[in-house]
Amino acid sequence: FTFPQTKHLPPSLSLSLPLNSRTLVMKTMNPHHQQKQPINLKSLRRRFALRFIRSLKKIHLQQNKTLKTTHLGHAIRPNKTHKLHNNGFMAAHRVKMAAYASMASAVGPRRAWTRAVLHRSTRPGSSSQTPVSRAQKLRSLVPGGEAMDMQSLLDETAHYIKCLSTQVRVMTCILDHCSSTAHQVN
Amino acid sequence: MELIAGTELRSMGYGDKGMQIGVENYQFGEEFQRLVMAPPPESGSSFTSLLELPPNQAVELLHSALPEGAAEDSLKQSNSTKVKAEPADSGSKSNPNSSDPSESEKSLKRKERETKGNGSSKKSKTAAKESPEDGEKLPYVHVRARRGQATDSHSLAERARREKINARMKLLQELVPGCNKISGTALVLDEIINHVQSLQRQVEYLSMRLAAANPRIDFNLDSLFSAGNGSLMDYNIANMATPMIWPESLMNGDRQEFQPQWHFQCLSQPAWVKDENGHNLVNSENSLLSFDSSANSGQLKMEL
Repeated sequence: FTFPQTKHLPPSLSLSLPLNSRTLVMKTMNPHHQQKQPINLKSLRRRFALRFIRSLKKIHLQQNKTLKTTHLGHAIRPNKTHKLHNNGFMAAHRVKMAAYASMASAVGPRRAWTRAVLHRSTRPGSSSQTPVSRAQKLRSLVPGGEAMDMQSLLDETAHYIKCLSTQVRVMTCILDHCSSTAHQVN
Repeated sequence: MELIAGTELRSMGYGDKGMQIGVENYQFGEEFQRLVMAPPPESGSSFTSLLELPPNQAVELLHSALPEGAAEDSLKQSNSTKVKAEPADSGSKSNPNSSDPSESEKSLKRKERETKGNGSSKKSKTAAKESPEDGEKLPYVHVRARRGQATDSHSLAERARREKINARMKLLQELVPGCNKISGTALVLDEIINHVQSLQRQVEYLSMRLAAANPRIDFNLDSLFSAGNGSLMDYNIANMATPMIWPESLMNGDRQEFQPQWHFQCLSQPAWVKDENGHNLVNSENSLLSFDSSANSGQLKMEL
């Protein structure tokens, strides 16, 4: 399979838009659900972006902390885990988990898949059988999809796709903003 | 459009000789009768068109009501009586009071979705009930199942379930780009799975890059979010981030349409950039290009 083509990335898309403007209320992708879901005053995009950036900050601070302790004190023996923390092998994983967690908390517990994501911290990763049919594949992809009937699975998939695409756009925006800022500094 | 409250769905089964027909009574409000009298649809290929409602209202009905009978099963069972039924249906429906409901033997594809009223389950469908003889007075319209369809409770329930699932699949098809042309549930599901997988891989890739770029991130962004307008605009201009209103057309899920639009807007950035930011512009363009090339290289890497 090929890596997903991100096509043309939107570097000019800015996150730093005035919060007071209501022009950017992101409607739900599905117009049929408009009357059902409450209108979000602060759109999903913003809520996610805010939480995600905060968690990125935390991760950044964590990484700085471990760097400093290893350099200064030599108290902590540089073992594999620390190197991994710094090098970004685990950092990527942590950023990914932070992204999913912040998206789930931005949506709230009103969706089954967000509840499954938010409860993921306590439950260890359960080994599911290799998916045989298409429905099983979909269940393995959507969080919490194992214990859902087909109807709600499709519902959750629709919402999940919408949130995932928001996530991707916001993250590309952040990334590009940061890389442009970085180049600016240097 | 508001739903007709307090309606009930009753069905009766007639043990006919060759045809297994289920008849369901509906109680219509005025508004619905008006809809019913509308001209029949040209090609009843989708249940929304059969309902003679705009699709969003039809789906609203679907979602708020408990969708019961099959509105149309045409994809699964092609029916020769379908074409016949439509003009007959419109003709008979236009005179609901004139024909004796108990004798009307029209087969309707369309079973409107009505609220169950009191929340009775689907099993109420199978409750046999005699049709009222004074059918001319009551606004009842009898609906029959199509030819060849079983009317026992199991198959009715299964049909309802299938219809619900098909409706949701249609909504998903609209979400996933490029799915509209595909026909067949399995292929659509494949496409959906591919889309979800690609989105997840994108998230993973972006998180990898963000983790790599983390040390250099300037984390004043959330102060931007919480602060008022003034600082935001200053930061905008200083960092030449284009304050672009997120086009709402993007939210309709068609990526191919808006991606070139974004690209164009990115390239037209130089138009409004001042001299002092020319340096930044070059850098941002380079970063864009480098990001693209790195995306491509990432693409190559992942392929191998």
